[in-house]
Amino acid sequence: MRWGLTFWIALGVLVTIVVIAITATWLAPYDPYAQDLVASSQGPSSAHWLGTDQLGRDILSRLMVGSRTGIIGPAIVAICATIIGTLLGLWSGSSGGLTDTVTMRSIDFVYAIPPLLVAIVLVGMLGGGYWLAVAVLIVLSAPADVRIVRAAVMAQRELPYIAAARTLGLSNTRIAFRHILPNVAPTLAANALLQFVVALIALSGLAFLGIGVSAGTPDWGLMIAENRSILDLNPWAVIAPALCITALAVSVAVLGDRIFDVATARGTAR
Amino acid sequence: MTASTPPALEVEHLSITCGGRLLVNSISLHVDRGESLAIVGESGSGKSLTARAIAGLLPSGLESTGSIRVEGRAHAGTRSAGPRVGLLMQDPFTMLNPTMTAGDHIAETLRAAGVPRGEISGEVQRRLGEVGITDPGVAKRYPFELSGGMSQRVALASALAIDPVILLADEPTTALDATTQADVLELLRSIQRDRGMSLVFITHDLRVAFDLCDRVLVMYAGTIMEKSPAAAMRDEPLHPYTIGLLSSIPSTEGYQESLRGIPGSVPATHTVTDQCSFAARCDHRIDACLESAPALREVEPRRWAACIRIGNLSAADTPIRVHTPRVASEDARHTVLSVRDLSKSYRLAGSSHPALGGVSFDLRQGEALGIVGESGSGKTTIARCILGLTTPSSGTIDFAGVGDISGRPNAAQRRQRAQAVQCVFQDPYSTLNPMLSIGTTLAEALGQRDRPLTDRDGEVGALLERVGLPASMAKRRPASLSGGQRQRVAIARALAVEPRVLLCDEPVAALDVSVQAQILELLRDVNRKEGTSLLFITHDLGVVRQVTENVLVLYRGAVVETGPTDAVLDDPQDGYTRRLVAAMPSTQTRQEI
Repeated sequence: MRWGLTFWIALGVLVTIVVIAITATWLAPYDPYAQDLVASSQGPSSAHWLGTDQLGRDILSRLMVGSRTGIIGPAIVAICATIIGTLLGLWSGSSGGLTDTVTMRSIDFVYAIPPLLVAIVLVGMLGGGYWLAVAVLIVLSAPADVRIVRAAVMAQRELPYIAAARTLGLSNTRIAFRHILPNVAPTLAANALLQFVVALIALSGLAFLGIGVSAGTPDWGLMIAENRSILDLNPWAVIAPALCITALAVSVAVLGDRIFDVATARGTAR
Repeated sequence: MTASTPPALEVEHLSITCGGRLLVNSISLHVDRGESLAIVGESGSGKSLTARAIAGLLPSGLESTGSIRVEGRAHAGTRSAGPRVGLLMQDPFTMLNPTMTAGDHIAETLRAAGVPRGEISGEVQRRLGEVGITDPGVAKRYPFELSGGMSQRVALASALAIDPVILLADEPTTALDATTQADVLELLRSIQRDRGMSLVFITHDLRVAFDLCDRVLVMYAGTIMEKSPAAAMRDEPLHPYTIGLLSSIPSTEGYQESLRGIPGSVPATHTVTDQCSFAARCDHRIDACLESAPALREVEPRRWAACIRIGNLSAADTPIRVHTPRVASEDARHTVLSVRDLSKSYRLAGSSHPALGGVSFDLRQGEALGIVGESGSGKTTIARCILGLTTPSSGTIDFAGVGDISGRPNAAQRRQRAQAVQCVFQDPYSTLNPMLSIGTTLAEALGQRDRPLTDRDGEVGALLERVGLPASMAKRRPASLSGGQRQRVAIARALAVEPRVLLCDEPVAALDVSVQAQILELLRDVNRKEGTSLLFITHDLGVVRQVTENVLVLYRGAVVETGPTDAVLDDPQDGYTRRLVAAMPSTQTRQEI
């Protein structure tokens, strides 16, 4: 049991959600946009397993299709922030001097402002929209990666194997990518998954506030906001999307933890 | 020893386990009052665990069984009331509390021992005087304001403050420079004699053990191999392992034609409980050695050894052969590296600290030049300047055919310098990138030659075999290799580029004695057979004697003496060199053949 039971459960949850996101169009029992005002705000029944919302749309179908915005946005944020952060961190750490100072002070500036607040203000000011929110979150997430990578570069630069690589006449770029990067990869992978979680919560939060995805789109955050008013008629319309967000966030966080542990152990043991 | 006066320390059947795995296997020992016992072993032998068990300071998770009696009474640990055991540890810098002054450390122990409040400050000065600190200002200084030797003296004074029956010293001089080490050993010797105190001295260095102690106990894989009076063991070691250890030590006195290490490495204790633990590495092994663990038996009066072959070991195996010194041939070999007026100062808190003050030397083709000095002498700064890892403040470094590249080199110059000089670093554990396989590391180095790498696996395999490792090792990662194996890979990496100069910065300082000799032999081969020039940086005069033909003695950033190695070590001219040579403990008394 090198990976542990929780890892496999978390992986199972994640895989299930991803499969549903891909196949939702065919799998969903109803069209997530189809309104049926006669059957509005109903509780769970054999026809609608999780009931319907105010406009009579099937909650289960909207939940399945809604997993797409729940996965794609956060994944893009995590991937882009990691790539940008890694490149900037390697560059800043290996050049040193003025480059390093300017980069790091800019990073400090971004750090100094609360990210969710900035996202709300910026996205709200620029007229909202899912992709704008994703872009803003990328910019706000990247600094963490810059710091991690730069710190690793600084720490490793003095180690004999880096000195040996320099003695071999390897270029700084090659040393950065071939010798330093593999040693921070476990941390980066774990951090990317953590950023996925943060972005998922942030995007759902923005949707809840009505400045993320456009109204009517099936999205977990937006569903919680839209269905608050029918909480007494069909509580599942709120609980189900909230559970989905929690399940996805927790399982991705658990994966990140385990991947970090196992990957760092690989370099030290055996 | 009579029945009425129990020995100062008596340990019976002490075993230490960690979660069911045996680490120390039922060892027994005793130390009489006023006697000194050295416990000698390589890393993994269990010597430090034994000391910690005696002090009652085993790390959590480890359990010990057996009895430990101090002056006949069961001993539960240093903090218990009752028989007193003082403890002195290896690293003088972490052993003292950085927020307490030197005087506080001693006063704290004195108060606990019940010395009246008014007498403490006088007593602190008296105790510091006992360890050779006469400057009254030292008591008010913090550990970071003291040198290594001074810190170790303060630590000794506070260990002595409880007036211990036994002092346990765990490698107390390993982290110190040679001359400081000699001073601290001399101090320990006189204090032990004056107080009539017993001493248990843990060390990896047989020379130090012979120098300081009455009796020596050799441990290997958690078991006792031999215990004998020091003089007897030095002159005629009984156990094959002791013989191997002794022959592994590079002699400071004369050149040895072949350096014999002990192949292999120390096994885990729990894997060898039903056989002789040394059998796998022993030249004298017979089938019976693998059938049961040999008992420790009295071979001669007061001499014990755990080997069934004693008496059958042939005399031809007497290891050390000291030959007449080589004559360094002063032929017209051309110079491959010329260093002129090399200076380097570091800027710290606004002021400039000189690390090197105008060092000049030449290294000729095929020459082995040693650079000897203590920590802070600037020897590593020279290495870093030559390797281009730091920029010298002034002076030139001139590689024949490459030109002066002491400034900021471009890519082509870097490649040229790589082919001019390569380095083997000290720490085997961080010299290889933990994430890359051995093959990848070596292939990368091979790619830095001018010709393209055509047969990757073949060339990596050939390189590994050249340094005495199997070609199959290319697939493994550094973490699965022993210290000696990693250092071999580091040498292979350096040789891959086919450099004219191989710079070795203390390449064996972090290795066990039995492994050191193998690495030194390999480096000598590279130098003699392949004609690669060696620039060998070390603090160990024995290593210098065995590997180099010329030597340069460095003291506080300046060259104080230079010349043929044998001449400098046999007849040192400079005052500092003389102190350095005198400070080296020696094994050679009657071993010359």
